[in-house]
Amino acid sequence: MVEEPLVELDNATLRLQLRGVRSANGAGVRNQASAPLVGGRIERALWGSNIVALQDISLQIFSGDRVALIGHNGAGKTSLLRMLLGIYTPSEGRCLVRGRRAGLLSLNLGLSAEATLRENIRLALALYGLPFQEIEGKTPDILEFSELNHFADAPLHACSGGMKARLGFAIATSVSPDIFLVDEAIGAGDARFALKARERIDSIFEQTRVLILSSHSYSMLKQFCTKAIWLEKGRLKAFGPLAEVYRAFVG
Amino acid sequence: MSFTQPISDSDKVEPASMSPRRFAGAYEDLREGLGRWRLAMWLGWRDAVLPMRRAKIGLFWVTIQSGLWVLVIAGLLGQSLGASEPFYPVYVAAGVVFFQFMTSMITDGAATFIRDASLIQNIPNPLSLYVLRVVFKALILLAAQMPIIAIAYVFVPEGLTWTLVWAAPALICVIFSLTGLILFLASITPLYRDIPYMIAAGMRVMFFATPVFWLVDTQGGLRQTVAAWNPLAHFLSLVRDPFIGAVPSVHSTAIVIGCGVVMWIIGFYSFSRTRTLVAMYL
Repeated sequence: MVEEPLVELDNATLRLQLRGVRSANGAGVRNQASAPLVGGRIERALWGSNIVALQDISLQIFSGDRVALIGHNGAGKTSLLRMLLGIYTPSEGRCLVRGRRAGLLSLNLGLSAEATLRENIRLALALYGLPFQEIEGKTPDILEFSELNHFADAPLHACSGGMKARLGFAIATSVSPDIFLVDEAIGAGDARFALKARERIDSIFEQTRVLILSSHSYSMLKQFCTKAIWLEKGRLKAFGPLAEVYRAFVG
Repeated sequence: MSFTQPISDSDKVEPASMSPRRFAGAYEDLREGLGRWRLAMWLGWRDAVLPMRRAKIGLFWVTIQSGLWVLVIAGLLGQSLGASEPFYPVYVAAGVVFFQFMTSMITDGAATFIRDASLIQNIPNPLSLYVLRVVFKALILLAAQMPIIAIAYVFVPEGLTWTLVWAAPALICVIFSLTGLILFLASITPLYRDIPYMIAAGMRVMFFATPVFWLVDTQGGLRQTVAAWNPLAHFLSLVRDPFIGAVPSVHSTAIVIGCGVVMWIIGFYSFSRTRTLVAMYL
């Protein structure tokens, strides 16, 4: 039996619309080929301009793949992650994802300064889509891991930046999906916590069937990934073994 | 980190260019959003209660704010404007409170996706969740203002009659109807950013163009015309009549439900058109 890919992209193109922005192209930029490597291609559209964030991407990712996402700023890394998460719908082509998806795109999402830590945990987990029966069970773990038990009923604004980062990290990593999409958001707290965080990430990554990690740090990518997707101006430049693709990217 | 719901075996994301798929997607979004009403309630609580938490009396400021309006209007204008309405204090109290409720629904509703842009862009959740939370926020603020109406009854205790039981179904009709409207407004606001400003300006005028504190003339005249053609006047009279000893009129009920059906059709259609675009316009 042929194994089904967990992620399947079929000529997926994503146009982000800029309504009412008639001349988003800088003055004098006529020849797209000579344009810089930063940011997607801009095209004129009926109501303004379009940024072609992703263009004709076709690829398949199978269970067990650990994929690095590399490319310059504005190459389409976050757009691709958002499309795989189901937040963006492809303008053309097809994007198919099988299994429970989860994304770690930002650490302090959904946290409110006036709510207590306990309330924040509850609200954030609910936003992340965890069933209500499981939320109560997870809360002590999260407080324990972030070592903020004694602050459980204090408002979040009573916490320092590092404490908030610990909480955000503990919440965001408290559920383990099949397909885990991470956007350079790893690394929080002091040195001792960073070590703990690293262990937690290791164990989560081991449990997930597919990991897609976007980062500019090769040492980090090397540690977690075996394959790489190289995006350039929204196009798939290469998809293959990490070392090879990264050498081509740098070289 | 975010889980997509439902946890199904496969999940397709394809361009929603064909209408049936668009409608199915919008329907699915609404169904899922309603299913997670508890989260919508928490978000409403976050919006209504949390910002005032550090104030000593918290949500009570909402009560005081509307209470002062009612006090000033009923005290200063009561003798000239409300001579023919025996329960004028309750008329004004319920008028101000329910008009506030509708204003809160409409203004917050139009901006609801913009307000939580970062959540929408990073956590895959049904968008209808953010429409539903507006309803819960408005309901929490409404509950905080109910004591004003109770106090108004102290001045005219004979206004308290059995017609009050009509208040609940009337409120449900109004919520149903306005939810269709805010689904429409919320779905087009990310594309047309003028809308929140239009609504802010409009609602301020509507406070005076709706019989909130003045009485509808029974002998013709401009006031009667305005009250007859302003849909908000019917929304208001539907929920207010039970408080002043009257059964809501069939005429107003029909207008509110009719507006609701029309707004839901328009709202559902525009939501199905823009649902997949909202995240990229934020």
